[in-house]
Amino acid sequence: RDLMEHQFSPADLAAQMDIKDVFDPAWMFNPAKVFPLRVSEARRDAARLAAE
Amino acid sequence: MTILTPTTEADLSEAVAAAAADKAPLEIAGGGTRMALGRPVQAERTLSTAGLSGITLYEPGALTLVAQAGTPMSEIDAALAAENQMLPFEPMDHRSLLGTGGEPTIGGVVATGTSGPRRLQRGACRDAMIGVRLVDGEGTAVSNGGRVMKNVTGYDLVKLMAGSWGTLGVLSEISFKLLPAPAAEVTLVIEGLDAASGVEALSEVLATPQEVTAAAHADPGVLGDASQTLVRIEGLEGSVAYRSKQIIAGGDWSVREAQASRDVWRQIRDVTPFGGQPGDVWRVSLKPTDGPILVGELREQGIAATALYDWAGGLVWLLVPDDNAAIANAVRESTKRLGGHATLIRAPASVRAAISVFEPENPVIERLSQGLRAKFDPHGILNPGRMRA
Repeated sequence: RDLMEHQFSPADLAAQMDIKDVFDPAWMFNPAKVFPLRVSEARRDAARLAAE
Repeated sequence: MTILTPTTEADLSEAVAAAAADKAPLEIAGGGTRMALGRPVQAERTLSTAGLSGITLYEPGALTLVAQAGTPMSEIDAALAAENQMLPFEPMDHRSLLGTGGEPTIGGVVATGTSGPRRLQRGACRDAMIGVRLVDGEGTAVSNGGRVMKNVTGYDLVKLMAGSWGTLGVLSEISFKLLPAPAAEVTLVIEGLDAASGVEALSEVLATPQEVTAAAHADPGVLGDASQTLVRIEGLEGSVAYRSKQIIAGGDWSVREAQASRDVWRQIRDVTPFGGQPGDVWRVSLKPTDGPILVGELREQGIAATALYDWAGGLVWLLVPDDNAAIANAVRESTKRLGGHATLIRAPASVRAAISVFEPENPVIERLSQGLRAKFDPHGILNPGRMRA
C-alpha cells in the first residue's frame, strides 16, 4: 500500500480514489487498504464530516 | 464547428482543460467511422485523436503492443501481421454496416468496447487491454495499468475505459496483450437448420474439446439462400484437420477452406449482410439459447426480423423495419424479459435521439454510472448525450 505513491502519480491515485468515492462514499469498507492513509486522509475526513 | 486535433498528450490535456473552462461540450472522434453509434452528441467543438497516431511500442517477443489512440487499425493490423500476431478479440469494422467512410482507430475500438467472433473463445476487447493513458474531463492526464501482464495494484481503470464511449475520458494511449495468429483455419457449415436447431448444433460442438474459435448462425438470406450454421477451427494444420474430422463425425458438416473461411467470418464480424439494407439494426446480447426465442417472439408480433447470431447465439444482430417506435418497444420488452441487453446500433439520428439507444440501467447501476461520470467529467463536456439524454 505504501508503495502506491511510487507506482502512481497523484493524478492517477486521485482517479482511483474518485472511484472509491462513488462506490463507497463514506469510506466505510476497508478504508486502510489499497490507498496510503496519508493520501486518502482528506477524502476520509470529508466523508466523516458529511456523516456527522 | 471547430475541430481540435492535438498531436501530443499535453496538447490534448490543454484542449480538454480549455473546453472545461469554457464549459464547451466536446464530441470525441477518432477516424469518424463509429460516430453514428449511440445517441447523437450536441457539441460545438469536435476533439479528434487522429493527431495522436502511431505505435509507441511493439515487442513481438513479449506479445505486447502499445499504440496511441488515433492509430489506424490498418496500421496496427499490418504491423501485427508482419510478425504473425493479432489482437485476440477480432474487433469489428463498423464501416459497411453504418455506411461510413474514414479509417477506424484503435481508440474507437476501445471506447466502443468492440469485439468480434473470436470473443467467444479469446475474450473481449477489455480482456486484452493491459494499460491505458487518458485525459479526464478536467484535462488531467491519468495513467493506469502498464505494459506487462502482471500489474495488479490499485483499481482497474483499464477495463472501465472499454465501452465508456468517450464519456469518462479521452483515451491517449492503450496497451494490449496479443496472440500468435493461427497457422491454419477451416470453417464447417450446415445449411438449412432453423435458428433453434442451429444454436443447439453450435452448443453441441462447443461442448466438445475441439476448441472452436467462432460459432454463428445466419438466417436464410443473410449469408446465402439457405440458413447457415458455422463453426471455425484454428491452429496448426494437422490439429485443424484432426479436430474438424472429429466434429464432422458428429454431424452433417461441410468444409470451407482457408480463404472462403476467412471471407465468411469477415462478413459476420462486420455484419456486412445488413450493410446497405434498409431498416434499423439492433445488437442484442443474451443467453445463447434465448436468441432464437427473442426472434420468435418478435415474429409472432408480426415484426419482419432477420437475424445473424454470433457467439453461439449469445449475440443477435437484428435487422428490423425502420422508424417504428412499436418495434423498438417490442425488442426492449422481449430482451428485458429474457434478461439480456439490447443496443440500437443503426437508426436515423432522430430516432437515436428520441429513444434509449442503450439498455436502460437499473437505479443502482445508474447511480454508480452517474457518480463515475460526475467524478471523471464534472463539467459534463465529454460526449454529452452519447449514452443518455
